[in-house]
Amino acid sequence: MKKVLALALVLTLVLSMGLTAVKADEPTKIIWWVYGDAPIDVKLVVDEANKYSAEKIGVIVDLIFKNDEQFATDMSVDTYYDMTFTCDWANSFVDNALDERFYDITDLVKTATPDLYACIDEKYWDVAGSLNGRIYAVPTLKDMASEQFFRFDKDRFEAIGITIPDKMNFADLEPMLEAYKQNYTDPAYPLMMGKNGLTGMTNSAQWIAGSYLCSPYHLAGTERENKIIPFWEDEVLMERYRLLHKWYEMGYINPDAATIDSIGSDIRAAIRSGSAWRGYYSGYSSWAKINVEGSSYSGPFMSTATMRGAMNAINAAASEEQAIACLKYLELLNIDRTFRDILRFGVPGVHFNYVTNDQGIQVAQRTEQGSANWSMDGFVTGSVVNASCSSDSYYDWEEIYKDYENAIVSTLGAFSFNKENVEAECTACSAVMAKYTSEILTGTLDIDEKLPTIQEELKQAGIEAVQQEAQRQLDEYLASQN
Amino acid sequence: MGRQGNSGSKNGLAVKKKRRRFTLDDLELTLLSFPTVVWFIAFCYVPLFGIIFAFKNYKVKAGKGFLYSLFVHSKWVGFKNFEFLFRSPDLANIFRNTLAYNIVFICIGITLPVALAIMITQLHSRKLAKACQTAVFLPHFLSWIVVSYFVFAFLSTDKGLVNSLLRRFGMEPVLWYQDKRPWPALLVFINTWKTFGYSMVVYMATITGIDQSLYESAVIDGATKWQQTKGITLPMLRPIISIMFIMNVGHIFSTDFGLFFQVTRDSNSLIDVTQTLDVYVYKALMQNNNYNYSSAVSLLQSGLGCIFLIAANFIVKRIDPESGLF
Repeated sequence: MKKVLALALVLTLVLSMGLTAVKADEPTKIIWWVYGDAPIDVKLVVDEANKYSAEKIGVIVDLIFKNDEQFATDMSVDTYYDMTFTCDWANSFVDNALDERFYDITDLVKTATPDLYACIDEKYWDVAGSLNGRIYAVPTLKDMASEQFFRFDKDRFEAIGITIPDKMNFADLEPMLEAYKQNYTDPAYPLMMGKNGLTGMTNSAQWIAGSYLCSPYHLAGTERENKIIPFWEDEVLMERYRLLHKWYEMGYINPDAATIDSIGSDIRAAIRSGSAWRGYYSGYSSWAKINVEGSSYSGPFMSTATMRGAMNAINAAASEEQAIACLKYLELLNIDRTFRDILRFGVPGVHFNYVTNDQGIQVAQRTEQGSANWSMDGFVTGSVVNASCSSDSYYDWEEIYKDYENAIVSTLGAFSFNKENVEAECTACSAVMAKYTSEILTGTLDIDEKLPTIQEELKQAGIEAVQQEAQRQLDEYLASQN
Repeated sequence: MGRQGNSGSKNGLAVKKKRRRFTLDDLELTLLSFPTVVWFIAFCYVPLFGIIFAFKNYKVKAGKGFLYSLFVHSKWVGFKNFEFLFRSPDLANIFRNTLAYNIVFICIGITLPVALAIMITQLHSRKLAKACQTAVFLPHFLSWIVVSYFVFAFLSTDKGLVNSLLRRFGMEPVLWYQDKRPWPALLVFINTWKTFGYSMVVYMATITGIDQSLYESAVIDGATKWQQTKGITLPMLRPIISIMFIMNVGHIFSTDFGLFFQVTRDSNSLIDVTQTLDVYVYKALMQNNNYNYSSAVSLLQSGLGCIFLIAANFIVKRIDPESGLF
């Protein structure tokens, strides 16, 4: 009996050694959480990508799509992942990095993946991926600034003799609204909007807390720069709110704007607003199915908010090997266009084909299966700028990035507000703003009339404490930078 | 069912002591109560540990798991998580709305379904009675989201039924979602329309269960319908009315989020008359998923509800010792 047992033990030992030996050749698998709803062909595309990456770097991926709520719950119960999507607007980078839930990659990214570190501009590492001077995330290269556009129904405006300027002021909209209203009856309101107002309109300021404390970009270079102020001290925003109310009273805005969710593409809106980059109009046109011409009315601005639009961070609980595998994977995505295109457009020949466009540049043309079963925002599976362009919208990213040299850059650097000490006040202030925001953004209420009430309520909720705390943290941050 | 099952097994235990044997009857009743007991333990008692969320600043320690993060890593903060609620400039308004609507709902919830249940059981045509019963019961199965679209179809500014009618008769259309005056009445009406069918069926079932011989003897003694109702039906309904009343009082600090948020389309112009505790908490916390704050408010709601429930039970028992819930 003992002999049999001994033999069995030896056998197990040999077998397990054999198994680990085999395992050493196997690629490292990383779990990667990305943003959005899973497209139908995930398995197909991931298999193809894994074949490629296993051969190149010995890393394969388990790609898991998550929406906002799934990120919130899964992060808070500490479900294991190796690498996750994080940004300014979902799965908050600042909150997670402050709680040290992300891996500090400051040194690792430079030693393990120098090519990855080199291919992303230093300012993006310093401002977007950093918190308190340590790097916690790898920025995704997409549009890194925010520029606000009005989107005009080009044909209808040209028909009444109005040419759309390349650049304009917010107030310049008024004569155009008037002309449209006089000439067209459907839609009855030229500036139709839902309860969120004109998309991107408030992006002329960097928001520090909710929609009540901000640092307007236009104050950079004045003596009021680096001051965190309540929204009513920002003249640019207040002028827009006043104009909107005026237009609302004049019947240019739909009266139920504050109570409806949004204006869908089925409504031929005369004017919409959007945040994008110069040249993005084809995207607007194909969405609205009419000719859309854009005109920039504000920006481009750059700050943590615009640069943290999409990033990838590594779990603080991951081992160093896993962390290196994640970085290697991101490195390959950033330097190998063939690989990047697989995750961006799918399996070549199945989801897309390479074609040459009018400018003689190789672009990716999606097949029917590609459009239906593997379509998502460009930033989801990696940087946009190093993927091929899609055949229906070509952008010269080098030009766009060169333009960023002229952008208005926030003077706040990588400052991020840690709300921990004033969380009760912040929450109460958010609740106050939630009562008025849609009415303000749609021009439904007269801001001058209502402002004293809002100020009084915010004061009671503790806005002063929040403002002081934010200013104190900012001053500390700025002092540490010098 | 659950209540009966539980009390059944209790009786079974008492019997067991005397006979010192576990009979087949006991086994049956125990088995019958089993799913309910499991349900209560799994969904009501086990999650109770979550109460400590209300007194902690929950932080995740990466890689250590949920329980470690909650019990060891997160710091105790005392009553700090309740603070945000009392910073609200609308606190008085929020509590007024929550309590006032619930009191109205409770009053209507007792009188209207009882009256209609009695009236329907008096109907001569069984078919008509069934049809009425089904018609008022149906809205109970609709979700608040669906109801909110029904209401929107009536009250939408541009294409709403009501405004189309108003225009037809040459009147000015009303911006329904921006005019708060009609909403208290509208909300009470919508809530009643949706919920009273359910309680009506409960009362009808009780009425059907009343011994018919009572009515027969009353008829022989020459009692009118009204006298029968007053003398037989209502007294027989009293225990169930008390129970429904006490249970509703237990929820007096909670409101239906669907009714006050979805049906009103989260319209800020209406907020003075629609902001209840649940709506406020949602609006305050939708930007940051703060589980501590939401647990704190839930605890407050349940705690106050529990106090009111015990008080209501006490009062009901003083009036009628046999009608209490416990």
